[in-house]
Amino acid sequence: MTTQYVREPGLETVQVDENWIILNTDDYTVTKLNDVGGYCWGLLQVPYSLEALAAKVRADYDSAGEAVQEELERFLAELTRLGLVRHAG
Amino acid sequence: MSTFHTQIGDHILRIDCDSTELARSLQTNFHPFPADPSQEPHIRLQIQEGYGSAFRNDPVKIVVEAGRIVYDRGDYRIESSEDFRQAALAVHDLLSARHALMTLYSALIVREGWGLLLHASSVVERGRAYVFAGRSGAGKSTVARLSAPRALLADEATLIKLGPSGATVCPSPFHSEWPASRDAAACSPAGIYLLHQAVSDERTGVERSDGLLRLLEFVFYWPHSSAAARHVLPLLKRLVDDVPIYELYFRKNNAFWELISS
Repeated sequence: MTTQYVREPGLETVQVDENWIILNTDDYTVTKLNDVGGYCWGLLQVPYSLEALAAKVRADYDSAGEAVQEELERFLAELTRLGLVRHAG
Repeated sequence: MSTFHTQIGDHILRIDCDSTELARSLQTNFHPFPADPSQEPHIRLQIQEGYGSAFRNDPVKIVVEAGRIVYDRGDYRIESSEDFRQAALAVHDLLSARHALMTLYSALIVREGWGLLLHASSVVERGRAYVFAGRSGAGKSTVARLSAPRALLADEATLIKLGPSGATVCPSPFHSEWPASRDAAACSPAGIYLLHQAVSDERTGVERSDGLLRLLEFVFYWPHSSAAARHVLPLLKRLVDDVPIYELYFRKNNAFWELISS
């Protein structure tokens, strides 16, 4: 079964110019995402698998290659470590 | 018992104090004015002197119980309604009373989305407010002193209203050494300057998102819950969307004014 990721509930997010800032009030940490990170963050309001997320990024950012999926895998691992996303279902 | 009304920002407060002497001392910060009988005060406070022990910089303990929010720091105790519009303050002395009032008022303005209190000094130059933020020792009070005879809005806790048409810096009663100038009027901010004492004067722009992250540590706010804490972020966004942020490196003289007001 493919792992799906989704945002943790209860996080406050604001967009400032091209960047996104997320406040985690469980541990009072703040995370800043660039425009692509923010785009992914927006998608993760609902569950997404790594593969589906990579497909969306490739399509909407006109990117190709395995590097996209590898980078997203690291990105999701970091967001998980920070307590911002979790495995869904 | 002594009763007086005062105004902070847009808010009218009615303060009932069991000590006439404490009330008189508070009025050096919180200027009294005649109450309008037709206008209900926005905030009603009862202040009792003699609580606890003198200030020792203990952390503020916050408890939510039975629809009330209780803050206790050892030298003050606040029992507030959930909307922060009615509260009983038990304070040890004048210093405790000032701090308790700041704790309560900062909670109210964040809850209402009205604005923020920043750990910053602020000064008026040609009708615009210049806000100087920094940690303890960065030079907020120094900059305020070097800026004389410009009108002072705050020497330590700057009050910023975030209205529909943008930010406004209001005279602040929460001062450390120097009170706000009696003739200082609320005005729009020209910029927020993150202070660094240096050997030469320099100003560099800060990207808005980085500015927001930097300003987070300068907000005076003691949240009683995770939900309450979340209110600060959208307020800071409104602030940085409206007001440019700069790093300011300055020498201990007033030459930096040529740089920032040009």
